[in-house]
Amino acid sequence: MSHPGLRTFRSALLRLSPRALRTEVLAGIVVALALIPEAIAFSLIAGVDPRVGLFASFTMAVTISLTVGRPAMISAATGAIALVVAPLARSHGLDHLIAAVILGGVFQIGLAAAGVARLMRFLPRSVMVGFVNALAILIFGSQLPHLVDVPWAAYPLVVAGLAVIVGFPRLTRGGPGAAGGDHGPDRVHRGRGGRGADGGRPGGAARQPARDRPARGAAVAVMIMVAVGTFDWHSLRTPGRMPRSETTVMLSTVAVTVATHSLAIGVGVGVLVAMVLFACRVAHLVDVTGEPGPDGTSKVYRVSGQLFFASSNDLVLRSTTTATRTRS
Amino acid sequence: MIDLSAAHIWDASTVAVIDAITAKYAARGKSVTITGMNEHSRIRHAALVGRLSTH
Repeated sequence: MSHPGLRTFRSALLRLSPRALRTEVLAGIVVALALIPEAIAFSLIAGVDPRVGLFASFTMAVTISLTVGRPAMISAATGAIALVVAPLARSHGLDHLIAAVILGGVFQIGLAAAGVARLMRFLPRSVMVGFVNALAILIFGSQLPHLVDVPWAAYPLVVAGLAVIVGFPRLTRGGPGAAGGDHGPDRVHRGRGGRGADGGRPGGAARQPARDRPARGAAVAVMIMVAVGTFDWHSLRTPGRMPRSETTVMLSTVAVTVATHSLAIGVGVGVLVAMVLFACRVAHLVDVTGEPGPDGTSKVYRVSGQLFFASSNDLVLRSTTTATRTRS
Repeated sequence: MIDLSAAHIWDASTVAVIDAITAKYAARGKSVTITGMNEHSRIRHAALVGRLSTH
């Protein structure tokens, strides 16, 4: 037992009181049960056998618990990744998908080691909100093919699925729904994970054979709830209070992501728009005032603000207009 | 006289603009003095002034 992860795990177990241990075990069981329908739904989205998602969720949960687990942190299958890998699974099959996931992990470790996380400071909040909203729209959009032009039997299945996800947790006194109740920072955080390996073009998963229809109906219901949970509804209520440029950044991130079906392009454009609008805002704070100098013949121009490429041309205009005005 | 005590020079564009303003007044026979630059602005201005081609 020389593995550091196992050692931490064992010492953590020994430190727990029997009561805390019971809580932890129950919490673990609840999470494990909650992850099952998610894993199956995300497998259908990604276009792989549901067993793949179940095994992957199991592997992740066990690995994380022994390596970098944190209290209240859940690591499992995500709708974002399922959406992003679906085209690859469809065009190249499961073997390539697994290779791509491992390669994505290697890239992530490499980027982390290179300290790329520092660049996150250049990612404004509005772009993150736009990313999350666009992701929610893409997830919802990927389900539309299963809701339009399908046998009527699909609708009651989806409605029943939604009813179970929304209604069941209320019946059983609190506790988040299997997947749909999974709102909040955890979901957002997992959603952001999708950015690492994207560049792909998320799209609807391949249609399943008819015998899978009940599972497909449930999966559509789960994914609709995932989309609802992913969307930052709060961002729709703040535009009045938010500076207009921030809302513009958010909306342009959403628009470009949805239009190109690429989260990478959407975030890139969002960051660019944010930088340009920020430069504009700072540039507008430049002010020039002119007044007669102390000796009576000269003039003093007082300049305030940040002078850079977006604002310094203003300087010429303002000083000369003031000059002409005072001369005439 | 241009008082920059409440301003900050960030880039070559700004130095070029100040150069252009100075040149314009000089053409009319007036001299321009720049005062009140902060440390950062002064270093940037000193490094670039008069060395930028006019566009």
